[in-house]
Amino acid sequence: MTVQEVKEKVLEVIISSTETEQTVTEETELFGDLGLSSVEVFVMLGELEDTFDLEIPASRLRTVRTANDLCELVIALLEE
Amino acid sequence: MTETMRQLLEQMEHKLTGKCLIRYRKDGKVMEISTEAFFAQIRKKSAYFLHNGLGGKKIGIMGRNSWEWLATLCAVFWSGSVAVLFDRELPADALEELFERVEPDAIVYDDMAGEAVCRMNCADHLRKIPMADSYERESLRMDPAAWESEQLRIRRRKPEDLSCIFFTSGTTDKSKAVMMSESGMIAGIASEINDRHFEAFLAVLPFHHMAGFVMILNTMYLGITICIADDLKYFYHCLEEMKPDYVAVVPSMLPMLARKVKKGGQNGSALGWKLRSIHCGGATFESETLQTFLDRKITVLQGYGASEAGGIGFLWEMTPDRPDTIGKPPKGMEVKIVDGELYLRSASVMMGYYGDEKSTGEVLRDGWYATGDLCWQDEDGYLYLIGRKKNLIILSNGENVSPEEIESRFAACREIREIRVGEKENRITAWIYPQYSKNSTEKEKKAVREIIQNAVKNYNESVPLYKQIQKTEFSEIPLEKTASGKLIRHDRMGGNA
Repeated sequence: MTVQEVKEKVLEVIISSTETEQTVTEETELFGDLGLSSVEVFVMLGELEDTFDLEIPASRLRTVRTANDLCELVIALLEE
Repeated sequence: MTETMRQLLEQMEHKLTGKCLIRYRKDGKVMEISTEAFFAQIRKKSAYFLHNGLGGKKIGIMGRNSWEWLATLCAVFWSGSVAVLFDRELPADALEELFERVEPDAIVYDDMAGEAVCRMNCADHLRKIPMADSYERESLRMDPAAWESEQLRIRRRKPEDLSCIFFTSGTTDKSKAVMMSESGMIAGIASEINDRHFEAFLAVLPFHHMAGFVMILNTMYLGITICIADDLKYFYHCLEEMKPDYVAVVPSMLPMLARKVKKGGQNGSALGWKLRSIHCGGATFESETLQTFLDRKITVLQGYGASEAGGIGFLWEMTPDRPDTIGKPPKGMEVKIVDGELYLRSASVMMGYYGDEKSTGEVLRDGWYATGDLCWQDEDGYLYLIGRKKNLIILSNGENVSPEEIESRFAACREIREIRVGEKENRITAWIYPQYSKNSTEKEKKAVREIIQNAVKNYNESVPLYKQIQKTEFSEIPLEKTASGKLIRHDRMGGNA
């Protein structure tokens, strides 16, 4: 999967996990724009794990604020 | 009459024979544990405690939500000992402080808590027991006479004996160690409040909290299969794979579930769920969210209680016609309102705070627990919370104002992202973080602030003078909060500036 494909997939998961009706781009702030709670982002990790077949430690969420932060996290884990 | 947790567990073992007691996920698969297997583990762990001289002692438990955690808790009760429950995420230094206060004799811990437990400085006599231990190898084995003596000690435990110690969350004050007696624990666990013929209950609340472990044991007592969500990441997996019809969540999960279930059909069936009811403590009434659930035949139960008041708490099925109530007092609970503050009395109220008689005396009087919550009751007996007593604004004119009550009046104002009401220079002041659109121009921001000012004006016209907001201050950044997300109020009654 290319980096761009990974990013598109992450955005798809954000949309399907949250059932948001808003447009989600890499710049979208998860807490600010989408109004997600930290619990919801946490639950989303499970869906990202299923999609990419990897394990995402919750501790890695500490620096995640935007959709792009989540993309970068997944990319970093895939490369590890 | 059931007088001890050991007796209650024996009854439960008998009553739940042949049942699937627990479901949990392991390596992506759903596993099941029968009543017989669970109680076999309880006996094994309990025997370990007794053989190793821990009978009747204070045994700490620290770890993630798991069936092993539950079996350990039950084993402590089975052996006539005292369970001390610790937050699995505590770092070593915080754990040390709690250990110094309550002085447990042992700590049973899992891999999640292992680092903190192994790193902390502790008393030499403290036994550290890995939860995954097979308990097969025992370094000591009691002689038969000593064993019989221990069994007699267990049978002679009394209802007023200390059974459990757990800690309050302590978001504003240092956390306190709540003591529960044998009878207090039984009163909460053997309550019929949750008896709505559920089949399976999904537990996501941390087990070490009163709301967590009492609710689990209560639903187990009622014959409901316990589904354990070991990790919140897999919450949706748990709903789909273990198919609980009853789930307890925290308020921030309600909007998330409502969004998910919108396309989920009746009871979330299109998602593979079989959800009938959601239990939520401290939920704010939002009609749209509630209606989303009701339209899909999912009820929302509002739970209200206090750790110190134990397992007997309010449970109210939320309905659109009576927003914001916590319901009527449940069977077994007495309530009274004194100077606006809610007092509760029941068989599950705590014994007091461990090692803190002063704090105990401040909240416990003749079996009545002072909740610190401001409340009123309507003519039909329904209770409504207004705010926290310690957050009350006391003005120089003698009037008392609840900031939460005023804040709640702006819950529907979409232009307000966050609001905190307090007192500044003896005037009721609202600090507001507006909901600006991304890349708003100054002109657009001004328009938003004008809408908010108008909402404040409308509010002021609807309330007596002493409750009116006299000053509004807008913030360009989010309002200050604690680590758990609660607004920090500096100007509360008796508080610091």
